[in-house]
Amino acid sequence: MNSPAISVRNLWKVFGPGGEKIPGNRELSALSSAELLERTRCVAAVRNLSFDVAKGEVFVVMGLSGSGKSTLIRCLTRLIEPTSGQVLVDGNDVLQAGTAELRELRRRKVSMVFQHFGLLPHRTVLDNVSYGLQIRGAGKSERHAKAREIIELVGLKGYEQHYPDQLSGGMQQRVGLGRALAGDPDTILFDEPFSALDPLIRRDMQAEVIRLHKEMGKTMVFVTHDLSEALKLGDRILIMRNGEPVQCGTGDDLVGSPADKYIEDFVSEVPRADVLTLKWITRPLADTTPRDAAVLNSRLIIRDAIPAVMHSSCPVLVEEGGRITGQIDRDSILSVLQAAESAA
Amino acid sequence: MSLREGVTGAVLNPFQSLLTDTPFYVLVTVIAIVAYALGGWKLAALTTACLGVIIYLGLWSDSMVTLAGTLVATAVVMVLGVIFGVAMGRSSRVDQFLRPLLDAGQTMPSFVYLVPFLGLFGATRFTAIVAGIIYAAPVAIKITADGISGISPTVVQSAVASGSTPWQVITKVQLPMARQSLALAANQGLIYVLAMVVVGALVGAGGLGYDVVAGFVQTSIFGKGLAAGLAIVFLGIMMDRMTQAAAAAPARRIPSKSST
Repeated sequence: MNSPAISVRNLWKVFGPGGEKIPGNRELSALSSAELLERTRCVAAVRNLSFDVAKGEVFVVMGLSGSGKSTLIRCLTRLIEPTSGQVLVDGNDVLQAGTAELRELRRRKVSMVFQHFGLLPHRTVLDNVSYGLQIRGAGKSERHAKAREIIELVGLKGYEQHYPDQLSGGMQQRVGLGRALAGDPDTILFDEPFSALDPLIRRDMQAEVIRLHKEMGKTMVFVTHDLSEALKLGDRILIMRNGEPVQCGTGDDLVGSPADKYIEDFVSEVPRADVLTLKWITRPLADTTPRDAAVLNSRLIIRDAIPAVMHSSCPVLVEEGGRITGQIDRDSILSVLQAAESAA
Repeated sequence: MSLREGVTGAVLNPFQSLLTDTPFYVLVTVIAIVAYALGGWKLAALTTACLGVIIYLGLWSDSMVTLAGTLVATAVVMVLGVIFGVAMGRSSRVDQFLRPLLDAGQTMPSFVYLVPFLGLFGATRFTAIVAGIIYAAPVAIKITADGISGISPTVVQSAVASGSTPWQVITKVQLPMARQSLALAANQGLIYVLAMVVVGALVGAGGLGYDVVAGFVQTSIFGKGLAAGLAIVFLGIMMDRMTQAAAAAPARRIPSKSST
């Protein structure tokens, strides 16, 4: 397997006086947030976090406000200085990087999209998108050519000469997206980019991110507090609470086998048939099932399996890696749908 | 005092000569054109009227001496305003350190620091300009600092996240976004410097301030003192209007969607 795009090990960020002593202190580092605040007047926003993000993956960090997710994503390029731990981007230790090296990382390798856009109000769309190229020394015609290409890619063609305050929120965030793409980085960090947008626009933008990910194959780290957004976009999801990781896995892992009561509550309203795959409802093969019945892949989403199962007169076989692992029938699907009904 | 002589010889004298030696009609035309560029016909008419009053009062030459000193002092005030204002706006620690000093500078009566400057530089235009700068700089610094620190932190952070150097953040993000504050700082700096014109005349500023002071003490030229006071007012109105026009955001046309 390739080396990961981003690798985080034992990352801590403690705000407050004397915070740098806490990660190394066995007694203090074991305290809960409330106890820690009382004893040391420090807040541990990120506690002992470790994860890898594979190249080309969409990695979602999810949590409620105050869970430390925004701090975490800022620690990755040291917009916030981590207290201790290790962050490797392409195998290079970010925390050991000098000022110039760090700047190069931000200019060429990792860019960021912000919740409140962070556009320059005195610059046109074209000059906003080409800002990153300008500060790394690209000439005017070169950066404008590249920026026009990107503006077309994010669907803003024709708006090059507009100023940010002449655009709607959704369009402003397209500019933010364009700015992040213009430098052709390997990785894009998203800090709740669509939280400030209304629901319809948000759905459009999510689709846009999925499309761009398919077309460009960038690694993405996406912070959100919205579970449906996490499930829609994320190859894998890390759920955080009070700065700590609670569970990390694919969407159907989280919904199918929540690690604890917290995650269970979180995912209780998710329409399970839309997220879970057949793997979670496959039952052992019965002797009575004909061996020539229809076969479905175990990674198929349950909802997509409904037509095949409903039109089959007998249970349907489930295969994984070419091997039959079990069967499903109408009852197994109905029980999932019914569970969703009763939860809602 | 080499600093004094250097500044007086290299900046003040040439600039003052430029203003006093240029024929008044040329200068009036130039100022009117600048005013037109900043604020259109109305402003051009206003500045011409103000200058007309000054010419009518027969105080053109003295007014130009005062204008030269005022503009040089304001330029220095703005340089200080940008340097310290940006430093304060970017760092709350610098702000905490400098703000009490600025507050103290503002509350101190101007005559108090005229005494040591008089001792240092003697009764010259330079002393008067320094006094004006000390009086006006705290205001300009504070306004600039507030403008810089009022910029949305997300915008600054996004510029840093794109890999900007601190210098790039200052010149491409913070100063352009604080444009209104900078213009207001220049406007206020100018007004404050102008307020010191008469006080500065006590330590050698010459120009209109001298005429006013002379009017106090010699009843025979009381009328001239009054006229000089009026000329200061009209000079002030003119410069205030011009800097305010510069501060107003330029009208921005809304581009049509298809224009690329």
